[in-house]
Amino acid sequence: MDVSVDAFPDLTGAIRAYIRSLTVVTTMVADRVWIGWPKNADGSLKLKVPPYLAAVLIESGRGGLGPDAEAPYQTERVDISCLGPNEHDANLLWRTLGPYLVDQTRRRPSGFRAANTLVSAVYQEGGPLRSPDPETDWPRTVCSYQFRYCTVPLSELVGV
Amino acid sequence: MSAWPGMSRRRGQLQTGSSRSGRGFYYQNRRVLIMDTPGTEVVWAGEGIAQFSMDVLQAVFSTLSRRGLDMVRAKAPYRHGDLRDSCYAFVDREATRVLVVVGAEAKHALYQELGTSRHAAQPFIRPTFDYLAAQVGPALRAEAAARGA
Repeated sequence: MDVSVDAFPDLTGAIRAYIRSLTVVTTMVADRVWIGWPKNADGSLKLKVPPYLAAVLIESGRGGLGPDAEAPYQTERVDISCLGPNEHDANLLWRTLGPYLVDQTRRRPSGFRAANTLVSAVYQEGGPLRSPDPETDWPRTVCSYQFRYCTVPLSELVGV
Repeated sequence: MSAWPGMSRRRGQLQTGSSRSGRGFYYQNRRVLIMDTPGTEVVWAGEGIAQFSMDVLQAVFSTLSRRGLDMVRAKAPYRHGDLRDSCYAFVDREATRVLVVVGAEAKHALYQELGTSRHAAQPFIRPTFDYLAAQVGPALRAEAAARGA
């Protein structure tokens, strides 16, 4: 049986697409929502820092609870770092973004649909942790989330 | 009939002050009636069950702690060995909660776990945690079964 890679949803891409759809966040970071640090081919950082701009950094590959045994769902851990010109603004960015990932009032279930991916739940696992990047001293607030998402692309799900 | 086979050390019939007839009693503000079946005996084994549960938890979490320490050391990026040597895992007990604490004391442990702008992350603590979390249920069942539950 041949399975195309397109048949497996791209969680990281979905998170980026979702964050980019949040006007309140893009007002602060413009298009700086990165999957991993932006780097040149030689591995050096693509940006010149300082100045320390506001940005959201999405980093996957951190493990997670893994796949459900019987349902087409996978739970993956993703670190989301909010970078800013100073600690306060980095934390403010996280406080702005955080409620769109996990509703602080718990009145609505967390989750979103983006990039042909159905994310059905988001759990905040740890953080927020103020941890400046040690190489650049870029202030950042790191938060760890577990994303539970459907391993069937949204376009193939009937009636959703 | 024992409510908890094999746990009869602390047995005692429920003849409390709230059970005048011996046919019922109050438990957590609820009236509990005992079926009038000949040969039926209700045995209070709560303390024994609690102790049994704590013994199982303690044994399982001690085992998981050892496995966790082996795994976190094996997964720790090795350069000079200081990170690996600083890894720790221990069992912590808070009242009725039993915890396994896994981590590393080296200053750069956090940066290995989260990554930096120059170095890619090499997570070693949280994968250990995932590994242990997946083992808790099966290990508890196996330990309880081995002790006759």
